[in-house]
Amino acid sequence: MLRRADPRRLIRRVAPARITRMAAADSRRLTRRVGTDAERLTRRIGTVFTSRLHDERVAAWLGLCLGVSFTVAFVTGLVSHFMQHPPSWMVWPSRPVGLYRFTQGAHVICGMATIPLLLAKLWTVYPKLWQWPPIRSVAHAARRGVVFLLVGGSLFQLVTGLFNVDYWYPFPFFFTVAHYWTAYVVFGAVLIHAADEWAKVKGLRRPPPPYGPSRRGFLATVAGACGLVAVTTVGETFTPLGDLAVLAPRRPGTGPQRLPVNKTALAAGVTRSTGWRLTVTGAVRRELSLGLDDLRGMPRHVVRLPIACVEGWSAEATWAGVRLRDVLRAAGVEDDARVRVESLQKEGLYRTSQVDPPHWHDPLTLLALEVNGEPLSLDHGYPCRLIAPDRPGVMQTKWVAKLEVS
Amino acid sequence: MVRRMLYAAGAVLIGVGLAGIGRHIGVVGWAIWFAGVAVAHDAVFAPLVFGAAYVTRRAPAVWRRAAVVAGTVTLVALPAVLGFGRRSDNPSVLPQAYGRHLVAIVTLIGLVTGAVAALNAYARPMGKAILSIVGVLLAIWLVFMVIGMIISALKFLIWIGFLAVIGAVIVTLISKMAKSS
Repeated sequence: MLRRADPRRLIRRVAPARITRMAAADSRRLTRRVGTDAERLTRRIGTVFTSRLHDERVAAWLGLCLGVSFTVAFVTGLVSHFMQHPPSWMVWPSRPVGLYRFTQGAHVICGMATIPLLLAKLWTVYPKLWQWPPIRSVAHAARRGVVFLLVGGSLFQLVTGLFNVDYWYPFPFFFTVAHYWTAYVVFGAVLIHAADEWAKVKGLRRPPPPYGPSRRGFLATVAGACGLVAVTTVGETFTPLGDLAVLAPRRPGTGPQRLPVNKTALAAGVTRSTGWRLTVTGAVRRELSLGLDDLRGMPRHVVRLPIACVEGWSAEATWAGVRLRDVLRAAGVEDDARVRVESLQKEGLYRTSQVDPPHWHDPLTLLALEVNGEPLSLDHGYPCRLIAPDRPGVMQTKWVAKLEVS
Repeated sequence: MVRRMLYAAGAVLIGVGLAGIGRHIGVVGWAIWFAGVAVAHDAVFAPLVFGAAYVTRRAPAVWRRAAVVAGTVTLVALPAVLGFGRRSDNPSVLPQAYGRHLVAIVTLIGLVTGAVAALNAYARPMGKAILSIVGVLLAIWLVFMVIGMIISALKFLIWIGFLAVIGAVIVTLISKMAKSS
């Protein structure tokens, strides 16, 4: 909350400063007129912020919360990135089943709830933007440079992230790549900023000044705003609160066959094909070419698994089909084989996905033919899609046509 | 020492990030957005907020707090309300009436704030009395609920014990009958 600015006090405070400034400016007028004007303006702006809430302790509290939230976002973001693009030495476990669902839900919901927090923090420290002189030394310049990276980067991450979960792409770069690399810049700046400001966080336990508006009230207001954002969105991934998700971009039960869709068959350029066959090639003892009836003739398994999307929503469904490992064993593969699953989709970043041993050994990993008791609809990957535990939704390849073993 | 390590780690991360941006992203578009959001905040958004705060400087604190909550929630909901991400082929994307929901939420915030403000302004002693009565009722309800849960758990155990006794009796009877016959 802004404290009421008493105009008379403002004038009293500004006036003597201005007189001395003008006297000093007189002597330098010819050489530094532009500089003086800038100084006068800047100092003037700096005197407008009279609220006691532009206070170190408030900033430190908010900064501490932001530090926690940005760390959660950074770690869960790295988990998501390296699950989708694992280096050759990295193998992810297939359990716990809901691990990715949890980390990505935390990433997105935390990120959205951080928006009020970041705005409050920037409001609190805004007068510092107008400090004079703007640069005191090389070290000060470096520090302000890091603060610029921090402010620009935080806003960049939260704005692009929010636009992305709402499927709005007004920017000229590819979201995931920009969000990923900018995260390093932001987190690096967070570390440096934390090192600089840690002394202020240590001062949090000091008693507050006995005047001015309530610090607690302000912090509670910010917490309330963050909480309200979280409560009205978290239901898109935490199904028991699904009814509260009135501002979430997705609802767990909404979509064909009561399940949301990320990419439709139309968007992927896939049409209902006749004569579909699943081929298994590569490092196999015998190549296979299976029709839909061949798959239906294999042992049928039913699993309950979530689709956990990179955009933060997730929804459970009941899937039925054949185990991926049964198909691979029938073709004769090594235990440490890696499998590339290819889609009918002609192009697009996610037309193939890699399945590592822990996932294809897992009895829950299916080549699903049915969802929620019906044959897959075309938008859900008819005739056959991959569904595996602990795996980003974009890697649950739809319209599977080929398994290439290596 | 710790501080130096943090500086070093931070500098490395910033370097890694900037290098990655240089290699994988069109730098100009990225830089425009990066600096653009900072400038938009500092030069447009923040002055608007300070202006709004100045205009409402005589309003009661509780209403200004409500405005902060409603305003930030509106900002977060705005892309969904505008709905630019909607696609004709995929109705499961942005399936809700976000504008209406946002209005409902803001109204709710207003109602709660109004109630709190009314209690604060006109009926301080009575409001406190009402609140404490509501609190006591809630506490009583909670206590009874917990007692009820304990009793129902006990009842369940008693039922299980009862069934066990019946089972034991039947088994004994059958074994006796088997012996006698």
